[in-house]
Amino acid sequence: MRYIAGVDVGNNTTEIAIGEVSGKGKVRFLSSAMVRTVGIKGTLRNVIGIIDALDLALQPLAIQRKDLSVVLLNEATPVIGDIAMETITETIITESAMIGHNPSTPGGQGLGLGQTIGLPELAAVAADAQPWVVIIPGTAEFADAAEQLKRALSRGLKIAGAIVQKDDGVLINNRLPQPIPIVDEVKFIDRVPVGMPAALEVAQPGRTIEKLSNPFDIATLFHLDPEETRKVVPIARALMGTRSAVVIKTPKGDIEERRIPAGKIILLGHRQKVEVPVDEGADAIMAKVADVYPMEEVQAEPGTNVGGMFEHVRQVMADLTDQPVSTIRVQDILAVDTFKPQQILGSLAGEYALGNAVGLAAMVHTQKLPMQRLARKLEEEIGIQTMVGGVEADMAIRGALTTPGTDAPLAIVDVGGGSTDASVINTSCEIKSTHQAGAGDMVTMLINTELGLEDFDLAENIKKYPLAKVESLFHMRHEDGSVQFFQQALDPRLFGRVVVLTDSGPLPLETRQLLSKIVDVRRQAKRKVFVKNALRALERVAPANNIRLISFVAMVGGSGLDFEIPSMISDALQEYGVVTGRANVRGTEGPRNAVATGLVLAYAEEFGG
Amino acid sequence: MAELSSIEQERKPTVRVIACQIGERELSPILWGLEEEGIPSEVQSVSGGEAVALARQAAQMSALNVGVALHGGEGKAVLHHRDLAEGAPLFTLPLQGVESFRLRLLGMNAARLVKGEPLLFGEEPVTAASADDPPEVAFERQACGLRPGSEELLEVVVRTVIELLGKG
Repeated sequence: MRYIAGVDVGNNTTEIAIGEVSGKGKVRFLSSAMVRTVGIKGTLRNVIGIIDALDLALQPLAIQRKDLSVVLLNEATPVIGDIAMETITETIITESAMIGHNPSTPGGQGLGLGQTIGLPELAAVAADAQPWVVIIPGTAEFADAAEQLKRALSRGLKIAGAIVQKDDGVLINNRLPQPIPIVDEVKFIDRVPVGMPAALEVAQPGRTIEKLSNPFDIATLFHLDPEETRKVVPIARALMGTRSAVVIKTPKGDIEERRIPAGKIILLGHRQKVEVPVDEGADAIMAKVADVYPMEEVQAEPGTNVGGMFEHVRQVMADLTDQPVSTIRVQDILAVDTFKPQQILGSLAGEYALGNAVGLAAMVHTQKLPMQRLARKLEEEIGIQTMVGGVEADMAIRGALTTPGTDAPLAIVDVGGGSTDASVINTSCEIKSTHQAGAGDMVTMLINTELGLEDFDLAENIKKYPLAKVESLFHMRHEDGSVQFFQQALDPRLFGRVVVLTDSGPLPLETRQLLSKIVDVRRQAKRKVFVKNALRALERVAPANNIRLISFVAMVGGSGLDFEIPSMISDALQEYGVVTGRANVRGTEGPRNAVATGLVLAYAEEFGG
Repeated sequence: MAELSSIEQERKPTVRVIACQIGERELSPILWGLEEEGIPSEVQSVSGGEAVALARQAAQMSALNVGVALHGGEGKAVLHHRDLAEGAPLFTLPLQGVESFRLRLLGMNAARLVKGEPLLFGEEPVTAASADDPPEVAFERQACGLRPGSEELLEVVVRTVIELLGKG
């Protein structure tokens, strides 16, 4: 009888299974453990995590570390992925010509057209037919500003609207004899040009502006010719969906939507070489990737974001495996269409416009990671025979097959951080595996970009946890509509906000975006990457590339524990008539521990005595 | 408290503001904050009472469940909600030397509490003057990076002082 430990060092977690082998194929599992991986997978620092995990697994058993006969390490597949974003379009407005934003409380409502003038200058102009749009700087108190406007009105001046720096729109409007549209909270008011024709629109509560978001209405207001109308299209588009806006016609105002020269990707297959410009979009790139498959190498134009990413992936992999950079080959990419809110250059109130972008994930596959080296080091440290036990994908499938109710032909899907892996075992026990670029990290990047968070950790939390809206000091409404009450009053900083329900408590989001919009971005990102990649991976390993010929699909790894990925993949696979579910390794471990379990099982099968 | 009980019958859909020994200077900004956020308010003056208790009472009299008390004697402004325990008001603001925009913020938060919108926390209001970085920043950074000997240090300090004076 021997005690055997199976060790699976993954990108994020190190997992252990301890079994008692009493004869050929006779194994009884005693315990499991999981810790965070220390260092990059495949490096010697991993040993610290492995020893921790071993002790954790041995703790409840009445055995010492020295009682173990053999420690088995997985032969990790050396796959890493990286991601990058290539922006295709951006809006540049030289000489500021628009303000379009959503102050929470603009004043008045309606549409006003007039010439811009500073508040102090108003007293000096004579009454005529000329309507004015008054610029009120932050130095002016609202009561004073309202008084000056009132005086001007009584002199017979026409006031079409006002642009206010502070949050005073409602206060000023309430003190005027007749309501005028007022846009407030305009940060850079000193950049608003004076003496120029301006149009100002405030929609009623619950509505968005109608005129200034339509290029033809802007053309009507400012008497634009067809060529000029073409130029205001980006403005109109950027103003869509806001409650208030100002458009100012400046003589030299030059607005353009610039197409940024994006890089090219060169796909090298066994027989052919194909070039795709990134700005043709994700669909065009992925169609070419499918044509060229199996891929030998992917190159990117140097000096572009994509080129930089490819360099980085190669470098990391070269360092990890002690091989020259030139021998590292990128073997798969995943492209996804996305959009990126970009601050408009020369904006007056921090306006954003959506630029188109393509997100790219790349994956590198090399010879073996130095797991032998790691095994020798571990053996030195703990004084127990340590061996590299077998190919990771094979072990995972053996482990997954211990899930009650499964049988060959069985496929497993493992969505990790950098790559999405799939393997299939047929009735004659042959195993076929694949690794696809694009997984968890890419979803985080998409969420980060599309919501304009500029905070990778926050995006990671949004990916991992459900959302809720704090509706009162004592209750929140979850994203599924259910309500949760609390005995203690919630932190006032959470009040009225969308929060992420992390393990360490609710985390408020600064954004004013609606909960439904954030949920939508999150689910779309997961669909674009996880579901698409799961299907792509299964197609490659399925008999005759036909997913219908697989009977069972089990999800393994940490992603199997996500709160919505399993159901999304399940929905997508339903039309293929495949039984899909989360693995339950040994009937107890859930989707975890498949590889560690597989290692012990494989050892037991070859056990002689 | 006789003057309060008479009004307690009719709960109006307003944020109730109770003022006790308080002037326009403190009261007005609170009302402007409420007005800008579009929530109606109602002011009532009382001659005595304790600030937190008054705020709580104001919240109970408001059909919007939100009340504010300004107490000149105790020198504080208190924002309370009907559902909170009496001893645990949402915000308490000392009136001693308080800037007007802080009071306005309190009024805005009272309104936002009614509307269910995120509360505001002490952001300075935008003014035309706030465009440039204050000159101290450069000085602090320089001072932090120092690990020289005492003579050198003295020299640097002298130089920095001269620089600062020059800038001022």
